[in-house]
Amino acid sequence: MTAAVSAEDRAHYFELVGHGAEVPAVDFALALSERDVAPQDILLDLVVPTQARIGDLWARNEWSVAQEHAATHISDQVVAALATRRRAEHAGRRGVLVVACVDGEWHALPARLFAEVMRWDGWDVRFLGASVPTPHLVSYLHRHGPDVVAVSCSVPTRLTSAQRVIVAAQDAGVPVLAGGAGFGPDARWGTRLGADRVAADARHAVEVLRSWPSPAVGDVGAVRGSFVSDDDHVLIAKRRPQLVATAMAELAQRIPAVARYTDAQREATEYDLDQVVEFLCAALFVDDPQLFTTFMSWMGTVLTTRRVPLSAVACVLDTYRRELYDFPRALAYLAAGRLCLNETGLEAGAPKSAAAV
Amino acid sequence: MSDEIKTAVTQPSAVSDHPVSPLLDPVTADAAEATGRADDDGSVDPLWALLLNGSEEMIFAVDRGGVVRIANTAAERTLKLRAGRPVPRGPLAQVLQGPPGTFELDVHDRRLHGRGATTGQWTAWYVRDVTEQVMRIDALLAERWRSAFLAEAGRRLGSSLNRTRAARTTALLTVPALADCAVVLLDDDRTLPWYRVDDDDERTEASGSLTRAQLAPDSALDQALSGLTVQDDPRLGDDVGDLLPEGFGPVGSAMVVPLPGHGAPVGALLLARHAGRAPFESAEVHLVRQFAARAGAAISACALYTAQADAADLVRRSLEPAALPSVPGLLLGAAYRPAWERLRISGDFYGLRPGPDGMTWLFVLGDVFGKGIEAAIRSGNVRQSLQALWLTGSRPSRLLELLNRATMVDADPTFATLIVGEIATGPDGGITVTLATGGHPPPLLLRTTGETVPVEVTGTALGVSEQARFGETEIVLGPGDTIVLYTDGVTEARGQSGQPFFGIDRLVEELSAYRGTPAAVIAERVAQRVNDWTRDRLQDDVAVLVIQVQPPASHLLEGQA
Repeated sequence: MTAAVSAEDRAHYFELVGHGAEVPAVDFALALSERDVAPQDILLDLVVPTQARIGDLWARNEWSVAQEHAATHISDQVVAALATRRRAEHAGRRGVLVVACVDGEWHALPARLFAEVMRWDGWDVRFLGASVPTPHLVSYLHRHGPDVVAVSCSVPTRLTSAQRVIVAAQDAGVPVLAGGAGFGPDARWGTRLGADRVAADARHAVEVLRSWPSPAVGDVGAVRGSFVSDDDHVLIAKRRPQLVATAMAELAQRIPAVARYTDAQREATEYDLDQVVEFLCAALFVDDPQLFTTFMSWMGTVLTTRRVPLSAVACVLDTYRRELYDFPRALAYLAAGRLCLNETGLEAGAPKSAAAV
Repeated sequence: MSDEIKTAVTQPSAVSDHPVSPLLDPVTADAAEATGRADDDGSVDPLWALLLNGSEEMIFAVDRGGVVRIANTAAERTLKLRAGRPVPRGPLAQVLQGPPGTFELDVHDRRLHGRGATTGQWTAWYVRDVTEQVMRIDALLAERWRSAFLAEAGRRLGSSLNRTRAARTTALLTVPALADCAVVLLDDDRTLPWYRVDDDDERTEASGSLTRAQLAPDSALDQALSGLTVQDDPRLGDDVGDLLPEGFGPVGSAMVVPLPGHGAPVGALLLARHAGRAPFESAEVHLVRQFAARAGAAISACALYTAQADAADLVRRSLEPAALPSVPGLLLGAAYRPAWERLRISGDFYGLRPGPDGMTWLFVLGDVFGKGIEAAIRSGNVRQSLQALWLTGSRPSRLLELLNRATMVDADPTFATLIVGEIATGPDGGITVTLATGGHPPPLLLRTTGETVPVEVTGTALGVSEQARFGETEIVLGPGDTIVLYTDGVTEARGQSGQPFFGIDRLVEELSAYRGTPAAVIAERVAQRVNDWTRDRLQDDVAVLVIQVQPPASHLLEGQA
């Protein structure tokens, strides 16, 4: 297994995926496998970077969301084809590993991909799929008593679900490995929420699990004791509809185009405003403003490329700051988010006049 | 009592210069004035003697040579001290030789707490008998430990619903707290699985199983499994020896207690101690039985839970939609999101299978009234009836008629809406779909030419009237054309407070944006969009089935960017 995925391979694969050429893309991945490229390398060096590139293209409005989803579908097919074609050697010798996406997490591809990589590394993997309801997962863990459960979370707004899953799994005596982009840089919010181990990506996870000879639930009492969070995220989450409505009204007053929005445009905007509150709540939950500022930078990119003036976003943040005057941490985070918008320098470059979504 | 005081004073001045106790300091001079000093022969003034002898505390003074100079009655009686004689050899003498300070010492079964203070050439000692106090504290601590042990046991046993894990936890909790080796034996009728923990240098775990036939009648284990506690029985060591680890050595004391369940005991707990360790005290036996009651209840609850969860799982798996087959010339996609998530099944259903002639494909998508497991089971019945009817080779509308009549036979007919269809490939490769509906929302047809239109068919819901009639329609599909079937959970999904239903217009708009993407992507997107619309709070089940004629390769996404 000396062959590796080259930059040309990635370029070619991206080309295929971009044209929705499902069968050729799958064939190409299988051909790499025939060329003695390790299947995990195909997933981690071909599929994963391509997915990241696609995400960027969508954020920069160069690809439609339908194109992005069609490409993800092809990646899914590649994972399935490789999984069928390349059986694991010594399957299951490391023990039983349950892989599940947290409740409300419908991005199954990263977890699926992780599951296959772990299977090739000798685990008996039980992949429970996207958005596994916590009671369902808990029941499964109790009945089957696996050695480890890997909890996948791709979007930080699911971290409250993730924490419930982590606690429930540990209470069932099953140690937890947390992973996925939702747990933040180096999966550090996974540690904050009390996971026994965290992994930044699938390769790291392989190492983490290999160096964990007899997984056991650690001393969670200490972690849970130190994880003191006030109820701000709950209180604010409850006010989401009112916050969004107030911000919407403010926008309509300040930006004439908003008042003339079609239903679809208004709904899309409301969804974005709602996301801002959701990410704010998630950041408050893990007590890390970076969760919120990272989201605001990303949103800045997404909206700027769609010719939405960032002054509109600033207006929304200001509205939230007025409404949430009695939540000091939230105020600080919103201020940091607004600063982040300024610092990207995008605000200055964006047109001040109103423009439609 | 004064005559009992014997004091030897070699340096009389020392008494006045260095009072016995700093506490007595202010009065010493006066007292010495009034009553005179201890004489050279060692006798002490009667008033002082009276005061000292009245104390329950042992008060005495020792000179540098280790000779007792003054001792009150309590010191004489308890410590066997005599004025003018050295402190008797033993632990006390050793302590008294050291520098003055506090000490804690066991002498003649008594716990003593002492405090010393230098008084010039002598050291004055004040010693209290704290035996009763310590015993009370020890008893309190032991009781507190037992309560904490039971509380911790309850917490750890209660957090598992897995019987094996509960049995393991039971064994782990008792070692080394209560025994050097613990074995939990579970009663599975013929086989008796066991879990063992022993604490030899390091804690090791093992498991295995016995057969019922291996248990001698009336042996300790057999008795425990029928509900009797066996303790300090000379035969016990022989009875349980096979369950102990090799090299455990001679058993000091052992007991076997039943693990009471709901009804019969669920198993037995064997505890063994090494020969060197103290035997089980009565308080410990009581504790073990209380612990066994908790462990038995937990293990029993796990068994009940597992039985029910396994049954539910079996039901769920039999009702889950089967994976879609691969059909030449077609792309298929489906999405399924039950609202009642605990079992992840619902009254919505779909399926696609080859027709009896092997030339056609039959499909269905439907929605049984109701939610959760009851609706799911009813939908299972509908699907089974339909599968049997499919073998008759009837046209879709005829299938619905028969299905409706079969449903109406029940006293409590299942109320359902559904679409059934047949896919046939013509000689020219063109694909024809024949649809019939029973009161279901019309499927949407996405033509590659750009239009998205509902396929209108007439028909009433199943389970309403025996005379129900069902219409039929035929559509010819070209490459890339797509039919989207969905349940009303899609269009009637409620948005957040104040927002309307998702509605057909949003669905059409969404589908238009996804024209040209593979069937699986369309199905998943519809379900996800609806889920987002409800902000992750689906009130009703959602099922989507997408049937797409294979488009010409590499023309999938043109014009999308």
